[in-house]
Amino acid sequence: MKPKGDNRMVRAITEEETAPTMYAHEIAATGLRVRAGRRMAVDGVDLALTAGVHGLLGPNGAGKTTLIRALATVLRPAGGTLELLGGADQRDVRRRLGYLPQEFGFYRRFTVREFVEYMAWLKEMPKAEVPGAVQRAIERVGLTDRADSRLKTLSGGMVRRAGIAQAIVNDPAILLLDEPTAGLDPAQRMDFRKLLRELTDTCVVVSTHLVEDVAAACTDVVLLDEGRVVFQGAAAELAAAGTDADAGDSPMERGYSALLARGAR
Amino acid sequence: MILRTELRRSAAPVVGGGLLVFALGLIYLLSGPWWKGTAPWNEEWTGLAQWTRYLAIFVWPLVLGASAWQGLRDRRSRMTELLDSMPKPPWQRALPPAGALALALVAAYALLLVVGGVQVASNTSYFHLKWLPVAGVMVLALVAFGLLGFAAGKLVPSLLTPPVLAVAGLAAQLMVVQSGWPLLLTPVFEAPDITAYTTVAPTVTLTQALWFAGLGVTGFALAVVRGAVRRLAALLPAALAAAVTATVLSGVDDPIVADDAASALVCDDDGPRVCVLRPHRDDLASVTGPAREALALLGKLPSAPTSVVEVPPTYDYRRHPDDVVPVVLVGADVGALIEDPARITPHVLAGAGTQACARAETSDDWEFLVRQTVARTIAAAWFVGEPRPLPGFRYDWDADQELIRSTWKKFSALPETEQRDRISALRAAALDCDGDLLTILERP
Repeated sequence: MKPKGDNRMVRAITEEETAPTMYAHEIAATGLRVRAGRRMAVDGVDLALTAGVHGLLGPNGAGKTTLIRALATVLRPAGGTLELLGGADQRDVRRRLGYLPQEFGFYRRFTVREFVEYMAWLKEMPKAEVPGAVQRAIERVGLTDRADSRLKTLSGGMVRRAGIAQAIVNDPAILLLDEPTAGLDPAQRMDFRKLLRELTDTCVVVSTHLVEDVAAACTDVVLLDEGRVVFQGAAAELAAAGTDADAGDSPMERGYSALLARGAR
Repeated sequence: MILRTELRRSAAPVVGGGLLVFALGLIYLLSGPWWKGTAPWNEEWTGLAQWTRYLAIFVWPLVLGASAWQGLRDRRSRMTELLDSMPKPPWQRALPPAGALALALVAAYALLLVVGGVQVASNTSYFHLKWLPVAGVMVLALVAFGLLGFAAGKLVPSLLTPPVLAVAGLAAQLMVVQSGWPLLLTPVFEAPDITAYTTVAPTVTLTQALWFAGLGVTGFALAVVRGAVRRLAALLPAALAAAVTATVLSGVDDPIVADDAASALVCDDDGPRVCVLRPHRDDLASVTGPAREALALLGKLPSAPTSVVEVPPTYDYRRHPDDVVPVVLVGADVGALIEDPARITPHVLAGAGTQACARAETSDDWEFLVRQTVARTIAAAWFVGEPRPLPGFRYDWDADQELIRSTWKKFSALPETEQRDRISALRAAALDCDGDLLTILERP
């Protein structure tokens, strides 16, 4: 119902857009437990994340993907609480979510533009905004000249960029990227980090096992091991945790090794 | 926008195009029953609707299998993870792929009807709308099988699903084909039921529409709901439709009923009366000449018939008034006489203007049939002065040549009045279907 005297165009500004942010954290988890099959892959995670780029680090099997899948509302938590966007209802959260799964599947016969359009439709974006948003997303990932190529003709790196384009097409409040740099060459990875730095209003969670990605692009780091958070802090703090005695070729790597070793003790 | 993308990029256009090519291939590469009988698929509207449904015997199992391919897509593309994070509810998500599939199937069938319909329109001026609901049921059936296949592809996302479904569908079709009313659970009719003078009973069409609608709703529901309880609930529309359908259709005596409008006569009364059935009204002018010629020749008899009336080639012969010569102008044995008027005169003269009482389709007394044909041939010969083959009896003409020759030789040697009396007697006996006609001609 429109209030009396309200002469706004119905579609011009949605309530969602004008509503003040009523929550302190885009992502708030306490004691979060999530199962991956029979295993409790995330086992008591406390997290409070706001806008910024958060690197999710950890060895294979640490629970990174399971945590991301729970944040993406694909997996239902087995315990604890998970509040996204201040506890908005699931459909609303999903509209404001961007997600690039680790195993990114796509419709091979679609063009990049058709695919991103399709995802925009699935994210229930207002119809009028879709073409512009799609074009912007494709430009941001640098696929403008391949926008009308079929996905099956693209290289692995280009497909991954198309995957990022679909994730950001709705200007998400929460952007979840699971191993987004896998398959990208060094130049593409630099472009990708640049893109991440531009996403200042978004709460980005990037899972990676490449420490240098985190160092270059993330405002802070969450280090996960065996389903628990073993460290959360600025990238510099991660680097500071290491000593020359720890394994690694860079301060970040040495900090990473040191914290994991400490967690194991 | 999204639907357009699906129509271009999904399996839908392949399924629809495949359906059209497959159906046209069947029709044109095989000399099937759809080219024959009184209502060929490209000559009568009734035939167009019913023969295209007859083809469903091969088509629907393939539609079922091919549609499963469309349902497999999300899993095959490894898209389920991403889709599970989308706000759009599953039933809305399924609309574009399922809708594109349904549209492609409907468009393919519509094109098939256009290909046939253009020919029908040029072949007959007899137009009616009764064929439309019959074709409409096929539309519903195609969409229903499409949605069921789509759901199966989603529920069992294996590469084996499409071929297994297609084979299972074909097996199910073969099982019901000789089983009476369960055949009506498919869009298929039996070939002999498809004639220009009959139509599908409206109750049957309505019930079938309900059945396929129920199947379609269940198909779509199965494709979008999750969980055992909801899937069971999704079966409800099909189950309800099945209950109603089984109740109604098992009580139907004959799904095919006489089409009174198509059995109506169109007559030329400008001279001795000549009538054809309504679907052949375009041919009345070309039938009238040879028919009247035959009537004039029959006039040599004391109680000569005065009119020629076309009758449908049904097996239950109704008694016609004695002054009427009932003739089948289009039938399995005589072929399409209306396209070959020269054969109409001998056809009317056969048996001195009577119909054959025993027919090869209904009688196995071979000897009787042969003698009947010879008698009818001699009777016709008397009017024109020499024996000639009767239309539709070329085989008998060759096989029984000796009997025909010898009988004619003896008969033509009789005095003129005796000949006429015997032909009159033969005619009277033939009208009553009374005994062996040849004995009348052979009497010493």
